[in-house]
Amino acid sequence: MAKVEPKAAAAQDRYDLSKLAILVVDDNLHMRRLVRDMLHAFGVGQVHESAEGGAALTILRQTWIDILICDWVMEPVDGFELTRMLRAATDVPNPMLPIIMMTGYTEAHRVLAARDAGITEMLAKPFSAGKLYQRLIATIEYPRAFIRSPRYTGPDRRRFNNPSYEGPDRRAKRTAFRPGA
Amino acid sequence: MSEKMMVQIIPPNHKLKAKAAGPNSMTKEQALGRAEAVVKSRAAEFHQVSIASIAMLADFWHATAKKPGEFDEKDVRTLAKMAHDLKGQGATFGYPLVTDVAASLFKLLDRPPLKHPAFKEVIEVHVSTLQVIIAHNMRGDGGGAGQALLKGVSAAGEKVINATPSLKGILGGEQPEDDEDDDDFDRFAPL
Repeated sequence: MAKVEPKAAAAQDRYDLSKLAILVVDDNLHMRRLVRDMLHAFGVGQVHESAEGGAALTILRQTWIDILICDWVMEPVDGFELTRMLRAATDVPNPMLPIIMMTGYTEAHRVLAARDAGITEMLAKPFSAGKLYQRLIATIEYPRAFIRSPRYTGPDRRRFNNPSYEGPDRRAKRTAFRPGA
Repeated sequence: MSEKMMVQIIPPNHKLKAKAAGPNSMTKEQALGRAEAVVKSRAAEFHQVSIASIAMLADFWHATAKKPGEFDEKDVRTLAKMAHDLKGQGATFGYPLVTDVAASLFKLLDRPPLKHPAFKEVIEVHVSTLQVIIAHNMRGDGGGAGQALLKGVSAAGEKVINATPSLKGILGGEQPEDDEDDDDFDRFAPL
């Protein structure tokens, strides 16, 4: 009988999100509540809310949050600044958490700016429940390495590993770091 | 130590995936079915919220338009933020036509051609169109009438924008000349 190899990297088709804690940050009350209710419908156990980045950072300091979903345009602290503050924070229990940025900004230069600030996924507004679910599952199924460097702190901006890549290795002098090692 | 030597690469972990495996699991179809039921159950609330949001934008615009002299950049920025919010919430709340018209208004206000003689008039046309859409509860693409409205305001906005190139972005900084709208975020996502 042929041996069936388990698909180690295969995506699941069922998820139990009841143990996840997600923080939703949006200054639009109705949008924030809709996202909250969609997450509860997906089965997410804990959904925390905040109307702007400064208050969100306080929650992130006091509570373990698995995933942050935040709007870009908010006052006084917007999602862009919140991302930078979070990635640089030394007093947050989970500064490497995935960040899903919700935004109506869809121009390429703005998407790249958000990526360079350290976000993990973008969710274009307006969005459907399907798109929100897709981004949520992407953060669960496809975790990326986390980079800390003088110029950038955030998830690896290289999404794809190309095993047949033959060009120069610009990370030849990198140092692998493991928490607690 | 060189900059390259200071780079730390922390390997990915699968803690979230482990956390997402449990006895209360549901399929994507089940999860989306529940979420879409939530959205459907709140249609009346979204209608009221959309009415209020558009009324707020219209009130602010009419107060701004009455002020003597040139436009205050702060007022234009506030109006742009309102248009941006409407663009984001419109289709999510069941009004994609609101999203399209608000997107056209935001495009105009993000790089405001303050000196153009038709600037004020084109803003007015956008605001009036948004009021018509919500007053007639035009859901979806609004049909033939909705598309005709959209075509009209978009053309008016483009005409004013194209007559005054290389303007500064008011909410998001300078717009590179070769940059174009790109709604395809999927190319940044692995799924």
